[in-house]
Amino acid sequence: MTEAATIPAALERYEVVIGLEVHAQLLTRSKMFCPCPADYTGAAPNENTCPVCLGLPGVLPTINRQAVDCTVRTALALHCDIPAFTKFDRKNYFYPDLPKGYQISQYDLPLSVNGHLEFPLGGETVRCGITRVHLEEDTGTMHHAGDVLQSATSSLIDLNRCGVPLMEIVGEPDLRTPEAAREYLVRLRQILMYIGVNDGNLEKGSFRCDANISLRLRGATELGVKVEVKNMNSFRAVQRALESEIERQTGVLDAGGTLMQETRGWVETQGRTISQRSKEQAHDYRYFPEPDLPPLRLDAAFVERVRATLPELPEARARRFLEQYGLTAYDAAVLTDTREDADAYEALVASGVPAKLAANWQSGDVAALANEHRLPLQRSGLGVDGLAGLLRLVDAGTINGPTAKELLAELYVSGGDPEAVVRDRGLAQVSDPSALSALVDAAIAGNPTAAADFRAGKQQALGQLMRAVKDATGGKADMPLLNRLLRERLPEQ
Amino acid sequence: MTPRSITQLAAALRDGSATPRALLADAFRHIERTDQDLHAYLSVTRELAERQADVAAQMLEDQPDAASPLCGIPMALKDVLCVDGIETTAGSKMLRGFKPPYTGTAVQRLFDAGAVCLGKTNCDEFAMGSSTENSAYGPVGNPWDIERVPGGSSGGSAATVAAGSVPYALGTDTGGSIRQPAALSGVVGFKPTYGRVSRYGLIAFASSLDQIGPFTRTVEDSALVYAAIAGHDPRDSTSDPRHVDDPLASLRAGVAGMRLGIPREYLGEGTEPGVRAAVEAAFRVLESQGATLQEVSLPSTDVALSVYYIIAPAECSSNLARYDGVRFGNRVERASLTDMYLQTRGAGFGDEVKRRVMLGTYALSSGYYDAYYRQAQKVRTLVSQEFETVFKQVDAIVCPTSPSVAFPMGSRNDPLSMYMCDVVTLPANLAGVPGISVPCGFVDGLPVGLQVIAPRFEDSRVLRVAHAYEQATSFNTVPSPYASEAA
Amino acid sequence: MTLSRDDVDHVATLARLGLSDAEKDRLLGELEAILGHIARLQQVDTSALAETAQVGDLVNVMRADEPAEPIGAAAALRNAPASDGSYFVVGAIQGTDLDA
Repeated sequence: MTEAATIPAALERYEVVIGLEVHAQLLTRSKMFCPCPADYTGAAPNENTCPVCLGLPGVLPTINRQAVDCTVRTALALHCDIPAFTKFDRKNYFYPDLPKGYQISQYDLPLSVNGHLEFPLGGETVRCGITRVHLEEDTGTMHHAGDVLQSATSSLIDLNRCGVPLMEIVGEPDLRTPEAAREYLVRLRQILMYIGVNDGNLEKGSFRCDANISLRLRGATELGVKVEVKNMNSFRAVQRALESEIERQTGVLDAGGTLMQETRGWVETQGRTISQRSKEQAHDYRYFPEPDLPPLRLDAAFVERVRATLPELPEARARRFLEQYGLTAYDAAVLTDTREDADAYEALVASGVPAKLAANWQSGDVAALANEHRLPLQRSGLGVDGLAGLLRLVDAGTINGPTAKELLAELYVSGGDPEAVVRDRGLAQVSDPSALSALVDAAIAGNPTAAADFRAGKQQALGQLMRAVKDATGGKADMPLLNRLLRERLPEQ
Repeated sequence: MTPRSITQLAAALRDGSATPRALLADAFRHIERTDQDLHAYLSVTRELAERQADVAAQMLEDQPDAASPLCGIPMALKDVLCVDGIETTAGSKMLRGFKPPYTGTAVQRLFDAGAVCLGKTNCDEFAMGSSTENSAYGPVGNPWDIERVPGGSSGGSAATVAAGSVPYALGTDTGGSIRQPAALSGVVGFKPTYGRVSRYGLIAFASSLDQIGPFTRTVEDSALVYAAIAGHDPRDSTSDPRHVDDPLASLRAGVAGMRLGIPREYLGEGTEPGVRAAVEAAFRVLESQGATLQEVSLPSTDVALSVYYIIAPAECSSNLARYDGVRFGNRVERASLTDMYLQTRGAGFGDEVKRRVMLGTYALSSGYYDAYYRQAQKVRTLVSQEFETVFKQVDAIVCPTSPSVAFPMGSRNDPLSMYMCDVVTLPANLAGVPGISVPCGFVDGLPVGLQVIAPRFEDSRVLRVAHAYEQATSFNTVPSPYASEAA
Repeated sequence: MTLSRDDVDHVATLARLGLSDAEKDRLLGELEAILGHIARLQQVDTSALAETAQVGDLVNVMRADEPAEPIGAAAALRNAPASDGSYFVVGAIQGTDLDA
């Protein structure tokens, strides 16, 4: 049976319970507890380290204020409560990517608790609780000589990533389908990027997700055995891994078997999860308050100061776009996908470009160019101001659509002032009816067959005639006017 | 003859009767003659010392008046204090050959003042012990009786000052590891308020208790060293930003009119009669100086030992997790990672360290945390509250530093009896209050120490009381047998 | 609370201390004696007491988000028992290495 057939069948009998844990690196300049740069991109192994993140004897951690701010921003965006008192704790375990033998994290008094994330899915609103958002430090990375962990003869340790501020966002087990899990992550990532705390890169691992999933018979009140799934580094992988787990667990349960509480890893190439370790020997992390760091008391004034820096969040902004600019729900969603896009759109409208025109161009040709050149509008040669100038020329009827498209493609990368280019190259469209009329007459005379065909009702024939006139104007004909003139001259019979 | 103090040597450096190089040469000669017996040093840093002596000489020549009193003065550092490029072992096999790539804050402040570092002193492994017998590199002899321990864990620092090799050395005090060896070795040992001296660069034993402080021959010298190393350090989040009073300003203010408390629990049954007699005589000296003495009570003293032996091992079990054979230190190669960890740590740590790591791991482990660690944290609050209550009645506490004088090496094999050594020093660490030990007499030729404890941030008061006592007596001027070799 | 030999084994594993049987036997006795002494802690009424994790009243000690130059790989690796010049090196890792 294929997954597509199994999943709905499984969902009829079993209720799927999914909870997601997201680890997101914060976009600070320095690490969480030491001043090494937080961005280790391109650094040679272990180059981005200091005595503190190496965990050398005698060193002490210091709290990065910006990391605390970022976490509070996130917590507020997710409607969390910010307790007045919070502290760091040590989570003790041995692993070579953890130099101190403990991770500085937060245990019983996290920075924030009790929030939620709401998103639309299939015409309904899904609300997923957020248990907590807390702050900790990332670990180093390991490479296993011999490719796979199981057959490696030695492991190489790089501590460049060690100590990068890491936020853990623990979701409630409120999600019921793999699709909802995926959508939750898409929305969460979007929010983190909107508020500027995370770069949303799943592939690089700056936004990581683990899932807890269990099945129970519909109507059952007790939760099923929970399986933790790891190693998913794309939204697609999350959805596929969860689908595969549902299939596997359904198979076990249907056959009368029992599930084991365990951690499983998603293997992309095999399209399945494999068991990594059982939870029989539960971890004993021996959490205790980090004695090297005094606690934090975040008073209401501090929280309100952070709240004041929060931008309008994507969902609210899309709703406003819908109402304020009369956009379709689709356009509103596309234009608010990133904060930069939404800012660009509002800048276009503010500069006098009609809302609908701006929306069509930005979500169409501009998005395509941004994608093609891997260059967002803001950083393109044209820029938001240049695009606004171009679209104002379109709106005023100074240039026609095809000219605008060509100019946009040309200036997107190289840049330039659209008005000056139009003036210098004489690209303004020919909108004089008498000038166009003469050319229309010439086109009809030169294409008698096409003219006859159109008269006979073949709509396509009009295209040939329009092209002829357009070519005669060097592409600058006012196309809607031309269309009207041709139809006037060639009334259908 | 009595070895010279910092202030005496500073004067000699300024009147031309001494140079940093000459002091250095004297000190090295003395170490060469005595350290075979004492074993106070784990390493001697001759190159560093010569470099620093030359820098100090230049500083003294350029600005003799502006130069710190510590400029050009030889000193030694307990081997738990990190110095860039200098082997730092914490008295453990685990760290043999480890050369930190950085220098800790307190040490750097001394270096900036022109200090001349002669070497790293022997200590109990990772500062865990009260006799320095737990050093992986062998014990330290007490300069008053080479068969006896100098106390610990900073035994090497205490011994080298008592022997007269250097006028001061830094130690660390987690449960008494400066004050107790100072008492047993007949020198001054000062543990400042927790948070006064940065711990950055101090190899951690128990983070919430550790504090760096000096061993000196006089209280004034302790004030000088303290003034140089104290003060806020942004690298240590637990270091206090409050302004540090100049301890020298009030040093000579005396004790007239002061109320001094004697905690009855600190002179309990465990106190040796000779120690009791010496300390009681010291009380009378203070009275004669105009202080009013009264009995006070710190009822949780007994249970404080239990609190300490939960909290310190718990923190140490975590602090010592980094010794895993991966980034530094010794490793026992094994095919699997877990075996490598087990064998590396099994071979690298000594018995006392293992004992405390086991105890601390147990106290933090699932199912025992509430009964042990959490309960200890709560009783720690009680211990602090009792000090606060007492300090509403009196200005400072005076008491013995150690219930006993220096004991023979190998005589305390039972861990519990060794832990009892700290019963009157560790409460100050739990409460974070400052304490000092100053020589107050001898029992059969073995030194006794008087402890002075004051409220948090009243470090100057501790020094002032100790100084008043010292000025009225002359116990600190009696040279140890090894000091007679002083140049 | 009495300590069992299993407890000693378990704690030694948690702490990654490789101990010989003789060491474990000795530690069992010593830890029992110490825990026996410490037991008096349980008699203290702590119902009205807050926990002290650290002395002092410091809160909100934070640093500005200013990056500083790292010390670099050469200095980082200088004390390593095993490295290949770029990385710290350890032996093969098994699935069970993360347990306990």
